[in-house]
This record gives sequence, C-alpha cells and structure tokens, in this order.
Amino acid sequence: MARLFWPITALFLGLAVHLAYVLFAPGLILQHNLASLTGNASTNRFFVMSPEAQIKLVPTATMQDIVGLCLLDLSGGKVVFSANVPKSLWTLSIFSQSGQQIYSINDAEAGTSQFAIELKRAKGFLEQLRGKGDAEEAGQIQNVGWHADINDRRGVVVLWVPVDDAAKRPAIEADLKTTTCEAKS
Amino acid sequence: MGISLGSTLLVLGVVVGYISAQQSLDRAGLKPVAGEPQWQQAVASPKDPYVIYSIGHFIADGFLPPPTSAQVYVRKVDDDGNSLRNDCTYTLLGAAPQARWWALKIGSAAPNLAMLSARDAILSGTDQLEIGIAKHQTPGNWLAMPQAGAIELSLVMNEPYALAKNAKPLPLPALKKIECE
Repeated sequence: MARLFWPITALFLGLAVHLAYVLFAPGLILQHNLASLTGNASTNRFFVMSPEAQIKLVPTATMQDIVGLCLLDLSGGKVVFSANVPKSLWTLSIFSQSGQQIYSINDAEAGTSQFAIELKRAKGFLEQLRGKGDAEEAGQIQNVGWHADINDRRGVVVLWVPVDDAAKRPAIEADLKTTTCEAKS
Repeated sequence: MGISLGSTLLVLGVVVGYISAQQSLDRAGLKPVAGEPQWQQAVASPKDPYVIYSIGHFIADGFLPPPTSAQVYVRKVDDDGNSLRNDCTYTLLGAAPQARWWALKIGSAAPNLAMLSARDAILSGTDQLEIGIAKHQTPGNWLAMPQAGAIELSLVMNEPYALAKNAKPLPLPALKKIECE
C-alpha cells in the first residue's frame, strides 16, 4: 500500500492541475485580453471599440461592423445598461468573467431601439437560504426594463451592430455612443 | 530514494495535468457538421456538459465564445480534403447563407485576415453565392487570400433563419481549388 502512495498522490495532483488550468486560466486570459484590447478601459462605462480591436475579441465581427463594450464590475452594486440602438439588426450579449454567455437579446426580441437592462450579482447560496434582500429590494425595483443576474462579480456586455451601408456608419456610431452603462447604488 | 521517486512522480503529475488541460482546450469547441465533412461548427453550447472546455478553447485563442445568436462554421481544407494554401486560387460556391447577416473570413489574424460580408457580396439571381479566393483580384466577389499564415475559412451566420418543420438546412458552400502558382 505504501508503494502506491506517491503514484496516487501524483495522479490527484495531475487531476488538480488539469482542473485548475481549465477552470481558471480562461478567465485570467480573458481579463488580460480585455485589458490589452481596451487599453485598460474603466469599468461600467460604454465605449465603441476600434475595428482592429473588435475583430480580435468578437469572433463574429468584421471590420465594417460596430462593436460596443462595457466592462462590468458589480462589486459596488447594480449596473444599468441603457441602450440606444438602430432600428436594424443588432445583438446584445452578456458574458461572465469566465466567458460564459449569460444573457442575449436582439432587435426582434427587444422590439424597441431604446431599452434598459438592470444587471446585478446573483444571490449567494446563504443569502437565498436566509431570504435576505427580497423585502429590502421590493421597494427599490425601478422600471428599467429587463433584469439579469450574474454569478460573477465581473463580466462584459457586447453590443454588435452590422452596418449595411458604409455611409450610415458615422450616424449609427453617434447614436450608439449615447448608450450608457452606469453603476447605480 | 523514496523522496526522489516521489518528487519525480509529483513533477510528472503536474506536467501531465498541464499538458492534458492545454490539449483538451485545443480540441474542444469544434464539432462535425452532419453531411458536411469539410466543415466544422465552432460552438460553445450551454447544453454541452463540457462547455467549460469549449469556452476555454475560444478564450485561449483570444476570443469570446460565439454568441448563441450566431453559427460559426470553419474549414481548413478544400473539397478534395487538401489543406488550403496561400498560393492557390479557390472558388466558394453555394446557396446564399440563410441568415439575417453573414460574413466570410479567411486567414488567422490581422493583418493576414480578409473578410467579406453580406453588405459587400453580390448574389446571383437564384440567390447563389460565388466568391473567388485568390491573392489577386478576381471578377465578381473576391476574398483576398492572405499572403502568409495559417489558412482557415470561417462562415459566420448571425441570426440564422429558423427552419420550417422537418425541413433540412441548405448545404454549406463548396470550396473548389482552381489552380496553384
């Protein structure tokens, strides 16, 4: 039995390294990529990416499309994303810190070119058990449109808009820039 | 002696765990497309129990995973199964992608990356798509072949049209080699 100690320990260590890499490395790589592609942009602020940067981050984007981004930080509370989008095709996707898509909406589903999504951190297991927050939040819910709970403290909102006519790009981009992404206490 | 053997095994465990994790991420994220042996779908489906590997695959390459609203297909070979080459000319031919918006990309990364989207492509009267892929401009739709780097062709279909009940999806475009320099 003593002979098997080191092989079994090595097996479990290998398994731990494998899982640790798969679970944590992508999140760290994503944070690093976002920081380098956005020039360390501040969190909870909407901005339009450069065409060169957007094709390095969004696999479905081309240089002609417009991609807007908001790096979420929910550690301070809720964030309200108020979009002003064109009356044409667009999709909005929200990814967690680890890269998992947790929310998606497009022009057909939204049915409007102006809407807001309230983003907040999902309750932890203990908070759900205690029922904490339900009564407190009941009086605080605002009429902002949609709500999404995010398990992670951080995430990223990606707003993708294809441009079917190059001449329209400046106007679409100007409209899109009025979109806001702000923390609400 | 026991300590030495133990240390060796522990180091081996760490190395095997690290390499296996990297290889698992490399292989994840691509699944075969039924009836389309040359195309693979790049996908991170939330229904996949190993989705964490698929997500890791895209992020390790520097990208966010494709959103659920899009379908991304990739191929690295022509219709004869030969790897795509920079010095060859190809023709992509097939039905227009059935999506609200689509784009084709060839190459690995900027500056060796060329794109053509629904905005720029001209379809024939029968909704057929024909694109020349070559270093030098070709008549009609043209996708510039990158001068260097790995060649991978991606077809991005944003908001694909829903299929009627029991309807089969249209085949993905074929890619025929015309000539090589």
